[in-house]
Amino acid sequence: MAASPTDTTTTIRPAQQLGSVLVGRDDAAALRKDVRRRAARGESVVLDFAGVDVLAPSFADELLGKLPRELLTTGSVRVEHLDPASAALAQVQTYARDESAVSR
Amino acid sequence: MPDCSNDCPPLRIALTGRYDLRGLERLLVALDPLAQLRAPVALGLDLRRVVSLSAPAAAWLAAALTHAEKTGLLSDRTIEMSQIAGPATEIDEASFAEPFSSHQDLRRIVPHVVEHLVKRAGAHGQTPGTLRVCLDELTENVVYHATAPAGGMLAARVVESTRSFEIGIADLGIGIRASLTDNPRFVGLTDDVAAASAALEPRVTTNPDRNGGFGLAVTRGLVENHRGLLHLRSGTASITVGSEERTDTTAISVPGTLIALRLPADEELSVKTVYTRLHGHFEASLRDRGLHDEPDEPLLETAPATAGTGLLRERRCQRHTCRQRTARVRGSGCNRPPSRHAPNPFEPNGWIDQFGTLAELLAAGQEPGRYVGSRIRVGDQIYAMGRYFPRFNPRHNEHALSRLVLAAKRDPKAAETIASIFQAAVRRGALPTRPDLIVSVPSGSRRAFDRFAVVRATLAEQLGAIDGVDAITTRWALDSHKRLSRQMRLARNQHRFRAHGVEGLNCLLIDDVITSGAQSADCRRALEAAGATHVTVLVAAVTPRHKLGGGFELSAPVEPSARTGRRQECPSRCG
Repeated sequence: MAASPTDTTTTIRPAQQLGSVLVGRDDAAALRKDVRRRAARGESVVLDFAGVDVLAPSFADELLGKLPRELLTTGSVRVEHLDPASAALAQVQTYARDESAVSR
Repeated sequence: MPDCSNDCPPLRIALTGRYDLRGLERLLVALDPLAQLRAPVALGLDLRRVVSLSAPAAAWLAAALTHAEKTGLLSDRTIEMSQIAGPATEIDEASFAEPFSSHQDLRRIVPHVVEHLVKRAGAHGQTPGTLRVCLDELTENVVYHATAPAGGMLAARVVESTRSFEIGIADLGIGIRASLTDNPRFVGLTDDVAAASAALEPRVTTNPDRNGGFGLAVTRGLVENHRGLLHLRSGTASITVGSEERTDTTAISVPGTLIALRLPADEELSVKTVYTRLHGHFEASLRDRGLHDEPDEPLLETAPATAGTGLLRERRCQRHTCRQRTARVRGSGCNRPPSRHAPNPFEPNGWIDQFGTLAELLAAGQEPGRYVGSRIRVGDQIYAMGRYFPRFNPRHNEHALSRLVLAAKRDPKAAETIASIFQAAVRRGALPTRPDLIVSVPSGSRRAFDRFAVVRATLAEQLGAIDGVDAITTRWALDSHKRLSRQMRLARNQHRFRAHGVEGLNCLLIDDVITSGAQSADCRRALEAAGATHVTVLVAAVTPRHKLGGGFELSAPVEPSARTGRRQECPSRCG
């Protein structure tokens, strides 16, 4: 994954490594682990989806759905340039994960 | 590989004829002995009289053979696969079957298959990405859930005669029901049909912690949006969705799962529309549970949002009841002080409640006399003659027009009354221009009664126009729209209608109720695409939803009120 650290902010651009169509849980899981590792070190992470045409549901779920919510709400991880349709899907999946966690 | 002993009778299977999507069941029956093998056997497979093999048929055949081979039920010497003698063009394309059993396989195979399909069909735009997403989701399901010793098989081809993508994904694993019972929610599930039906819904998966359960649901949405076909076969379940809807329990129990997919090759396939639909469903479910407010958006936007302005968007002010200039607005109101806004006409005891509209007065059997506002402006060239309160609304029973609109769906006499209301409204100047053609939004397939026939005929006679009885046709039928969000309705109706014979004509499109405006918007699009010069939409009633916040604009000429005798003016004096 292309990452360009600037002070404590790292921008990750999945399109550079994975192409314009992001599919598959394996790649998303690797990306999520990378994001979490950087966030744990105190870095701010920007997930820049510029150049990404569409996200598959499994990719969105694995990367964004499973990402700890506090990372997104505190601004440790920011998502940029995600197309509205994929963002809508990610929102549904994030909610689905939160809800199933609560119901358990 | 175990060798066959001499006392083991050989299994002879001869396939004949066409195995297209309709012949799939025949293939499953013919290959059932092979798929159900439990002991090593010699196989004689005769394919010489096969004329056509669809991609799903090829996938199932290849999966059954690979499974039997890899599990040691066949020795490679026993396979007698003869040359296929059918038309080479039909067979060659179906031979594109690839085995897969891991993510590494998928990373290699899926882009290759998509590239082949896209190149062959000359597809462009969102289609390649959409196919990639769908194939990846479906094949990944096999890797995660099927527990198939030989993995799965993916076959795909472009069918030139129907200009469609045909895709088959097959595995001889544990099947959907057995897989779903790992989920605590489905423990004890014994019905294959129930399991397969559930699998088509979003958020249904074997392991909710690990997976999301959106793959099949998204594919189903894509098929529904593009009038394609998805056939799911697992155990005794046989489910077809899309252009055909069928759910059966079959005599033959299929081990594992077979998915057959057909999508149009000449349309731009968009999975993003499906995502938007899913999001609409999600918001609707939140609203149903009281967790989310109705989105504060106009029923029909009268001006497109300006790109890149974020929350601040350039569109018509939603609060003013007079003809209003475009204002720089935030949300649904403009940036002028609220005190200068006209009252919302839909508020209880508001403007319409006080004076009524022509249609509401006529439906109630009252003499309208002089009235204020013969029509409610719903959007650009879209007018309603009154309001409609759905059955669940407490006002429904006391509201004559709502009851009449509902009755007109089945009762010819009520339809005639609606026609007389349209006639009266037109006589009082409800139309801005004189139309050449009267068309109506086609009725759903379940309604045999054309409730607009009498309205069209009445208006055609009154205006000297043509009755466009078949000018608009429906490309596919839909289930009820009830309880769906506006976004969802718009997505379901996208390109649903087509029109013909309207070139160069000024059209009047009539409907009974506008709720989201999705159907009339797509009918209008179809008319304009077919060459109509101008389209005006006139409906009997509009559903005033809560929190509309004056989303409608009353644009009828302001006339002296019958009751007050005073001219009603916009308090903001901006008209």
